[in-house]
Amino acid sequence: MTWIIEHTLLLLPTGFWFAFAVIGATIYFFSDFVSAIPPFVPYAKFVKAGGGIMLLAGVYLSGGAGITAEWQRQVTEMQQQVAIAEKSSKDANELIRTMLQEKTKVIYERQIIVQEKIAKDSEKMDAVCQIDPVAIEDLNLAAGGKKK
Amino acid sequence: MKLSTLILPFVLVATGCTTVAVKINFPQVPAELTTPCQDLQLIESGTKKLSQVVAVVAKNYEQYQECQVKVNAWAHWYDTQKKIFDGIK
Repeated sequence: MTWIIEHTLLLLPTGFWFAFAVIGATIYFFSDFVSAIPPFVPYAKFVKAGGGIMLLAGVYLSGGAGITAEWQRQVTEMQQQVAIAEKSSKDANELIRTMLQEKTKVIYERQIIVQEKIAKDSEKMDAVCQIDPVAIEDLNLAAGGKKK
Repeated sequence: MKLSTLILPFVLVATGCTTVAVKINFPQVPAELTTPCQDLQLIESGTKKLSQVVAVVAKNYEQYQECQVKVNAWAHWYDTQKKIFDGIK
């Protein structure tokens, strides 16, 4: 029930309630004249009150409709900003992904060169240096392994 | 009091209710950033050759650099996303 009323109120154009209030004001201020019109004669005593209620309701709902329209404008604006932000976020992610891939590739390529150089220089290195097992233990410990 | 007499006040009060639904999704992190850094490689016990030690150490440098790039990318990702988020007013 509530949603039907809300939906109906939202469907009405903002100017509807203003027109409603203007009609109410006209009836209220010209009630004597309106009461004299033949179809309204039996309801003469209700015309002024009815016009007053229409005026008050029209002013109130016109204000409410104006506020709702402003809210809707702000919501639409916010939704547009969010859509732009989400697109920027995706673009930034793509940029970060590309940067990461490029830097990682450079690291891999350098490592291949380094390993080749070590292999080439191994004879020279191994000829002058023999590693004591404690050096290995200490290095492995530093690398996060357990000392055996 | 009849139900019909409550409708007008109810309608008038209901006009004050506004539901605003603007949802912003949490930004997705690139999958490359979510993989954990690997453990450093250990040297085989009994190794006597310096070249084998140097090779493992160099490999570990590589792993450190990979991890460094990843951590820097995380910081960059956070700064960028925060700027974008703060830009929404």
